[in-house]
Amino acid sequence: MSKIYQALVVDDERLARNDLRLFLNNHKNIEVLVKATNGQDALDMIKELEPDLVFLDIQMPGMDGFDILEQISSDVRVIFVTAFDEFALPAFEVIALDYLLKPVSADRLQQSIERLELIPNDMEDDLRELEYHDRLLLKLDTSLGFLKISTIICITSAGDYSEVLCTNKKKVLVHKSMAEWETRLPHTFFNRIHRTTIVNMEFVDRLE
Amino acid sequence: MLRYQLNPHFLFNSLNSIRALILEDQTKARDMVTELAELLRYSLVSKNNGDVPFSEEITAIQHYFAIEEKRYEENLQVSFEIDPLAEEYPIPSFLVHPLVENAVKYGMKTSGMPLKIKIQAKVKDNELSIFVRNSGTWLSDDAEGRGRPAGTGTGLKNVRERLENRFPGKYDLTTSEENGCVIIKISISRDVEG
Repeated sequence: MSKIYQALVVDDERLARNDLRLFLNNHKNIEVLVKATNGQDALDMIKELEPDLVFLDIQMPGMDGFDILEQISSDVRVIFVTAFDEFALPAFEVIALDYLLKPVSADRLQQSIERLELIPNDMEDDLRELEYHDRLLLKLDTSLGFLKISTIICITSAGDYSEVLCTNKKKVLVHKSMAEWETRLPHTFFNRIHRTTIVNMEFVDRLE
Repeated sequence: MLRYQLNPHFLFNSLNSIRALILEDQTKARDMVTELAELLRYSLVSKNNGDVPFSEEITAIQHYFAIEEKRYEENLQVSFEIDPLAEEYPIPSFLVHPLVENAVKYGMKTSGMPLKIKIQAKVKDNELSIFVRNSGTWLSDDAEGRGRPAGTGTGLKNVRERLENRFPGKYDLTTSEENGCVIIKISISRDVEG
């Protein structure tokens, strides 16, 4: 018998939560722990209960699905469930296990759950190591955008956030710590030259 | 002219709610199908540039909210206050609807729960004023300087373009924030021969 996964269903709409719950009841390896009704609720519950899996709606009052994703441990598998299809990009796999569109079909949900077994955790850890030509899907204010790793000139710390300067001269504020950047960025290119600064050596002209 | 199309997100979310209601409250599920059908019909029948009496637009908005109230349950409260004199007023179909959708979309992001939305229409001195209020806050373009506009403003821009085309020089479209509400106001002055 395969592992039992403890799951949290996060959606601000009760009907949507019930609908998904009904489908999940058919999956003996999924145990729905609780259902969260908003972002803050979800975040508290994820921290307290440490579920294996979170079904996460994107659009919710206050804190949305991407805000939550940024703040939880990468050990938690996340499956986005949403009617919004503009985020359905191949790169979602960088951050989420899967992406389901409402109304969810039983077959598609089955595939998502099979992925749990197919993609082991240690491979997710590999995913966390970024390659120089990767694109990172990030939340930029209320929308999502791609950040090409190769376009990062430097990163400076800004409290809980960090500020990324890109080749297009734009600065973006990202909810990532310097430590996280340091572990994830490819070390052949990126150097933490100071507690508050990481630079891409490709853009260094000279040292003084 | 831009022809209004029903938002696919709205359609899929409605279907999702209906599917859940089928098992739990069949009367509500059936009502929701009827309301959705009525709204779809209004969107198909309405022609480019075609005027409809304001009352028809309001009926469509009522169907829209009947659906959204079932979907959001206790998190959404909607009220209407329509001056009977406003009912005959000709307006382009789906003129007000995008503002109503925005009130739900941005209101759900920024308001405490429940989100309260109020649709008001008044007629005074041959001028029709339509108010769409929601209990949220105006999403500024550059909150915290994080670079991207929060609302794209295309909804408002389209409404303005349609007003300019249909009522050149005789309309006003304003946005304001007061008493914890975001208020969008359209006013249209009518020719005496109307």
